Amino acid sequence: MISLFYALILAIAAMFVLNSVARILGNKKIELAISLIFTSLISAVIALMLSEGYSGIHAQFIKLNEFSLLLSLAVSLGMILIHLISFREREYADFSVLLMFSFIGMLLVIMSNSIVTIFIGLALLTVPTVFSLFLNSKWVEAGVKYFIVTALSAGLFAFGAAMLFASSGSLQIAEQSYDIGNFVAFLLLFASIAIESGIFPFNLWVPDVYQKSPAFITSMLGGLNKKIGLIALIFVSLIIFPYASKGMLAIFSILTMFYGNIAALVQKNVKRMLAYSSISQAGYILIGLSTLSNYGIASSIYQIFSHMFAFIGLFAIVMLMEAQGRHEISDYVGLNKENKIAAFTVAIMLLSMIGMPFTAGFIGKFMLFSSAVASNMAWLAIIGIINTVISVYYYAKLIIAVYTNKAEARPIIISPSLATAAVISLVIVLILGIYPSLLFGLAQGAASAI
Amino acid sequence: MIPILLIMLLLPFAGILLAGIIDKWANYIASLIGLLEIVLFIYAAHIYMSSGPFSESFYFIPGVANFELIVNNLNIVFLFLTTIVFFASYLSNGFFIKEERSSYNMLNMLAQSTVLGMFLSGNLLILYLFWDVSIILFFFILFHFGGLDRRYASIKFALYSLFSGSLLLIGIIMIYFYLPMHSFEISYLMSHGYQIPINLQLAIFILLMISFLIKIPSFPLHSWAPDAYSEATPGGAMLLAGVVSKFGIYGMLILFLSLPIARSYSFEVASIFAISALYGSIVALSQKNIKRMLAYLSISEMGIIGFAVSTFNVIGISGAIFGSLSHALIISLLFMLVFLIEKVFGTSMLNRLNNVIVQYPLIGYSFLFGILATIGLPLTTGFITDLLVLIGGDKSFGLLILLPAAAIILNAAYLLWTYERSFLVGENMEIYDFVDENAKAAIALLALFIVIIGVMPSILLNMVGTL
Repeated sequence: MISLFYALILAIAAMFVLNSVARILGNKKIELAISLIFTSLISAVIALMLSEGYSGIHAQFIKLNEFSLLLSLAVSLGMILIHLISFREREYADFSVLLMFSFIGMLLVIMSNSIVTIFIGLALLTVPTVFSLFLNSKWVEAGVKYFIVTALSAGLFAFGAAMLFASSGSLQIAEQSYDIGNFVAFLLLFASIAIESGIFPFNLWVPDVYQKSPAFITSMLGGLNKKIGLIALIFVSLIIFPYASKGMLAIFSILTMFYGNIAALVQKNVKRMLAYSSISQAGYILIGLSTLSNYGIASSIYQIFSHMFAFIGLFAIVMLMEAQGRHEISDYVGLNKENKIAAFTVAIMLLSMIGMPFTAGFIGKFMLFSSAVASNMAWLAIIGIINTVISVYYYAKLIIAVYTNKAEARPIIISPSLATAAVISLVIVLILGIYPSLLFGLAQGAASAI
Repeated sequence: MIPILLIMLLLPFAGILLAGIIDKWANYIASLIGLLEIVLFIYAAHIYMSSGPFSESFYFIPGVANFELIVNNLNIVFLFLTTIVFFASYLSNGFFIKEERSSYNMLNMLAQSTVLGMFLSGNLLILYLFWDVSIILFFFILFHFGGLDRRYASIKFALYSLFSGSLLLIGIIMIYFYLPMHSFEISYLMSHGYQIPINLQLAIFILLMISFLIKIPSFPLHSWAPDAYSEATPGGAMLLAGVVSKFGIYGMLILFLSLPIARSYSFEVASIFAISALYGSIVALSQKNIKRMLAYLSISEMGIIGFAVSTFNVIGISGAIFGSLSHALIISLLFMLVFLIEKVFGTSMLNRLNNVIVQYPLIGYSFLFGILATIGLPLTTGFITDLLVLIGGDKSFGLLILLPAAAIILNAAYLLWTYERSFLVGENMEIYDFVDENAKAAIALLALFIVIIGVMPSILLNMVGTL
């Protein structure tokens, strides 16, 4: 049993070394091959550990259980997609190496057993992302903005962790009693993580950075970094300070949903619209967390999965369009005539974000809303549904654009790596929608494990 | 045992695959699928008649909801009307749709699968799933293939319908959590619905009634319907008016038979529908376009059917179920004829149509038949409906039946008046197109069923039984 953990460490280390060697050799294809093989290997090891029911604490700061293994699996799969999406870019050679650091950071946050691990993980995740935004002078604006907010977030986190240690004498992820020092620590930690995961009112940077970044980094920011922030939020608010977060998360959830959805209504740029939409999705995920129930956490996990794949899959197509200089919603007109697979991917991913039945998004939202009703917070479910109805307007705008006919449309070819990423995420989104029991039981097991 | 209901649900997907591969024959494939669905329905009805209600169950979300399909006395008639109207619309597509045939037929077949799924589901969650997906499919049918003003009409349709779907979802989740044993099963809801606390029953009732009023469509919330019906494709209008509007009636039947609170508010609901019936006929008077006139006629007729559901007695509810079938057949026939008129004569404006019956007797006489069936000519389904509704209404509400009765009379008056003005007199017009065999077959199919079931209503009334 214990050997699996070392296999995991070994796989990560091997990926690290081999990928660096490939970078020095300067061959993008080898880099991609190594990244894909080893990320798949890591996913396989994690899946094996999950199926064997592995659990244990290593060196006081890493905890493996159903929860961390399931989410690590999600992140590894997401990572494979990001590699595929970014492969055609000129910057991939460096980005791939930076992505490895981020990957390790993500795994550290998910598997953390102590506040310090979360801090290190978040730093490992965000600093390489900042660096990757400095790879091209066109992205520097986004890079500087993201750098400033992550620095602020890291500062707040360090401050909060110090306060927590000062007042409780412990940095373990375990429930703390109520105390004014603890409460201040909680506020600082919450603010830090809220910046990372784009919760209102800490999300004003999100639209700018998402819009100015290249599509593959945006897909990573919205698909993975934001989800890692939300997972850190599960640790900080649900496990360490459940009493403080009871009503608070619900309020932040409502504010975040409304802010994201209403601001998205008037957007014309696709990436900016999707940035606001991802803000609102974080709001939906908070509904599940605010119930503080097992079922609520399970539903949040489900929605984290569904939005991760929908977002990354959609950005495979945004990537394709961006390469042709098409950024606005009106530029997407006629996509159906040009490439049927791309149009279908856009439609299904957006329908999943709306929460249309037979896509993963429906099961996620259904579980979220029903968890709110189950915890006697039916009003929260109703607000969530009102938000869903509002959101239909802007998602439909893009779907309509894609399926509107254009006079002169010539077929565009989608590169194999983008097509693979789009199809993989399409399959995952549809399978999770049609056969939800695949993930449902796992999510519930994960929720009861923490 | 063969999972006949699952096959019914999945058969259109086989058609979609075939139509994707051989897109020249998409139309024939769709018609074939429509025919096979009727055959499957007859087989299912045979099982139902010989051994009673039956169901099939598959895994969906363990512990929350199974994927359950049922056939019972409530949904059997709705399944029947779905298969017939879809078959007729597939046939007529051969005449109306000349471009992008394969994608249009694929969308239609997908829509048939979701509509059948919605009526077949034995589980509120599955019902909601299909309810919502069908909205998106009909949105695309309208948006991509509809008339000149399709953009406005389709978006209005989608927003209204999705709002109605959201209310339905809230209602369903509330039902789930306030039933003593958390369950989505319709049969469980019907037997244990009375155990939901009374104030929550009221909340659920109001939410679901608003949702159904939008879907039916009924008076205060109907404004999407005339736009959607008149801007849709011919097949789309037939399906929207004929089949999709029955979603609301079916939902109302389940709601009324499961929550006792419905009984205490039945008079209010009946009044809304009675007003809706009268409102529809009055507004129809002022329309200049036959399509919009038929849309308001449909609203009026749906008001009468909704009125019948809220009577809460056996005759009234049988009248509602029977009336749904009758309305589906007749309104889809009339809509198809109007689109034929538009195609043949180039207009559907009343003031420009003249002397249709002389120039194109087929259309003229079929339209007359449709009008007479709507009005309630004996030996057509319309007659049986009016009879059952008025008797049932009289039993429960007494004088309130004057409103729907007035609506019926008004409908008869303006339909005949319109017919006289536009079909019987005037100068000859230019003819642009000739009706082909496909459309003739569709007309014959619908007319045949209107007469057969009008002559022998017992076929269906036996299936419905005594509830």
